[in-house]
Amino acid sequence: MERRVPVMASRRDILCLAMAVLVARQASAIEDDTVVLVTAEPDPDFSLPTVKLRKLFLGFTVLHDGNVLQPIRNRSDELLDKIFLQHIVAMSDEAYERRVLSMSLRQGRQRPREVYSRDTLIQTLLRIPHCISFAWQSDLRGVPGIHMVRTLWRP
Amino acid sequence: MIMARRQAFLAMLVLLAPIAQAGGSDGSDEHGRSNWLLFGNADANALEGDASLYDSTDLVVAADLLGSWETGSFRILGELFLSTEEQELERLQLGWEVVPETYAWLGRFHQPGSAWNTRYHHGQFLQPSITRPTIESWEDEGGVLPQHLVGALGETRLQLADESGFLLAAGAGIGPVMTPSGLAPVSLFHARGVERRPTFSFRAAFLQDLASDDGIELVAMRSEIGLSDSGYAGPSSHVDLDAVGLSLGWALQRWQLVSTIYAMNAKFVGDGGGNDEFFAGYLQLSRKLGRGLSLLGRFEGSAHTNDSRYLALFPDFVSQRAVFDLRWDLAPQQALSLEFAAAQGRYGNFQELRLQWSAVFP
Repeated sequence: MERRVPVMASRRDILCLAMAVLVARQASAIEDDTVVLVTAEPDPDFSLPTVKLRKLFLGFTVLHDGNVLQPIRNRSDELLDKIFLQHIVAMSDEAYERRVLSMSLRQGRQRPREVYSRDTLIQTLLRIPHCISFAWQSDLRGVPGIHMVRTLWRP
Repeated sequence: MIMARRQAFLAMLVLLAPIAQAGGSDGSDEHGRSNWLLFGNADANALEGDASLYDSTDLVVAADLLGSWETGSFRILGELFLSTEEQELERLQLGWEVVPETYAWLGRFHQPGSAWNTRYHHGQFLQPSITRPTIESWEDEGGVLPQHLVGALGETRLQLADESGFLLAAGAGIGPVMTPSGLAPVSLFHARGVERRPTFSFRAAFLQDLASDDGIELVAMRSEIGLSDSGYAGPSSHVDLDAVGLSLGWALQRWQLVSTIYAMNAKFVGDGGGNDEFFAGYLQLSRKLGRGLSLLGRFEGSAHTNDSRYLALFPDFVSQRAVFDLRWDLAPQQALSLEFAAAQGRYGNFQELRLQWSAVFP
């Protein structure tokens, strides 16, 4: 019995160590990741000033090459959504929801589409013309047909 | 107001089409995109006052269904209000976005010269208090200013280099008619033989942030209001009503200030009488308290209203009112509000106590 106690402690230590390494690697991946503006538009010069990007996600009409851009709010990740609220529209969740509601009530404007997974985001970007959204760079790196326009946020 | 059959049919067509289309995966396809919203509220109201006409209690349940559909630069917007008190097709507008952020509309719309109504329309959940200021009341709720027009409306937003900008709107069309109980709003399909006269309305605002309501705005309106169905016994055929208003909105952290003042002039055309000038306005201050609670106080005042021949046609006109409202946003899209008001009407003082649940779906 005396010899088994240290053996069990050792297994517990190894398990804890493995979990710590896993968590650290995930944290490191997020720390290194950036939020990028993404689109399926083929135009390599596609760029949007921050003021226009905010207008777009608030429901205003924003044109690019004569086409009306279609915003997609990517809600696949809680942290990503917080970054969207803080750095793109600069509003609290409540204020943003009220503003979008208000725009619909006043002029019947369409609310930005919302997606809740990476796969749906990719499908929507590829299916509907002139869509624009934001995502973790690592989520969409190398996906055929998806272009990363510029970095919106980095840690 | 009970809707005509044609109006009800059109309302159903416009409002149900977007809902049916929204049954798809994301409410969109290559033929256009649709959107719908349902604002609902249930109110319990108690009034008590000097005169017996003020004593009442009632329960009101209401739903405001808003549907829109757009394809390319064209858009259709419909708003149908249903309650235990009335049913009305509030707005039915066919719009064309001429250039980005510049719209031309045809149909029935809320006139742009009301600072309050162009913000909240019938979306009770978005309104910070249960009641609206008396001077902003709808025609069929004792309002003294025309609020609905059938005609044409133009709206544009001009953004400056930063996020600030100008908002301009102008509307022209036929407006309400006077009845023995006050103004009756114009219907999209109004009855034959009912006298309708023109109304022109204008709004110019400078907003610190075009996506907000903070800024200063000037509103103006000229309306001819027919008297032939009002029971008025004098020689005038109509009243020329002019209104000019100045509105201010300002938010700082948890505080928000809204204030509007209107100067109005009514002239009974053809009776040789002089101009009838009066003023009305309100100052409203609200504060978010945290945990979804917010507190609001509003003072509504007026001047020269006792001598006004025009206001004498409105027995329910309230010349002064102090309103206190406590709101609790119990969920992201639901709120409970409690409101107390002390008011001064034509026949004496009265108090109002209101409790309301409001929500918006989806």
